[in-house]
Amino acid sequence: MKKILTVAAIATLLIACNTENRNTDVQDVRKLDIATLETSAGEFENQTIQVSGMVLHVCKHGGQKMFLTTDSTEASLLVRVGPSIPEFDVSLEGSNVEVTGKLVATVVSNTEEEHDGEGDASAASSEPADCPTEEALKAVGEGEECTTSVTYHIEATSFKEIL
Amino acid sequence: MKWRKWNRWIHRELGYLFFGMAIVYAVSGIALNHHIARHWNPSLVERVEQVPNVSPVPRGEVTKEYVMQILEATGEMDNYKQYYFPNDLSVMIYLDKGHISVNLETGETNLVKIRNRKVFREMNFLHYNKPKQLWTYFADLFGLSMVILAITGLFMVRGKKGIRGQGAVLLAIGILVPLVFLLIYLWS
Repeated sequence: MKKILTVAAIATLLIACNTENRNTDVQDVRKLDIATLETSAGEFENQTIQVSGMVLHVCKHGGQKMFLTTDSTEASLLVRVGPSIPEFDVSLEGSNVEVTGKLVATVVSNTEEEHDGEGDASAASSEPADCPTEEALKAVGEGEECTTSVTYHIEATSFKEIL
Repeated sequence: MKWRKWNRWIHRELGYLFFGMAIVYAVSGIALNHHIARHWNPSLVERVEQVPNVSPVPRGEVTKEYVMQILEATGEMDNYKQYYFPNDLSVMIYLDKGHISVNLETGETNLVKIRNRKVFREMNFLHYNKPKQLWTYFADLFGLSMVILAITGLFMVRGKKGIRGQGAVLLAIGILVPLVFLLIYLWS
């Protein structure tokens, strides 16, 4: 029993010491607005950016994604939780938030739909692309007709409510 | 035999150690079962309340005062966050823990209150591995321990009611039932 308690104490200590630094280096973060991303998201692909907006919707089946918008655009931006964020609480709906994270591109073919069990909102800031990147073309198969588009989302590393 | 003594020891110690985890995963497992079957949302309680309809107005005439009137009529003034137009025919008034949706064409108004479902929310939080990081490994350890508990459990009792008697029948039923479901729903 003493051994078990010792192991449990060490495990607790390890968990307590797991204070991973979740703050992104602010020097590398570029502040953008959703309207800018709507027109030129491709320029910021794989970069760490910071975006502010009102939370339009939080997916109710797990809180793994939310959609942001602003008054200046009708587009909405999909934000997914990153490894350091457990979930987005539904109470964020209607709040203004500032999100920091990596802008990630997803190539979607016309015959392909995203199914991850949370597909109850569709918009996301998207940039239709007639012929996306070379890598994307490779992904959908060489020689096939170009019927793909690229959508962008943020993989959030941190977020906070703002006034 | 000595191995039986070890078998009992492992089964007993792991059983005590992972009792809490077994309850968390079992209860949230039932909840998630019915979530997948679309019976309910185990993490949230969403209640739609009928409220008096408002006078229909075009989008251009929706002002802060119009929104305030709706908030006053629904008693939600203190919970107001902001409002937004999902399209030209409706306005969404965001509240703390809910929203009011108004059809601007018909004036139909719905008050939706959303809150986290106590206990289940916490259990599902763990079951879905939302904490990630170290929880992943602890949950893996639990999974592995469940396998060990299942195997050691087979050899807890000797004799007619053990694995060489009645236990074998129950063991076969427990393995056959999932196989039958796979046969019907997946492999056919």
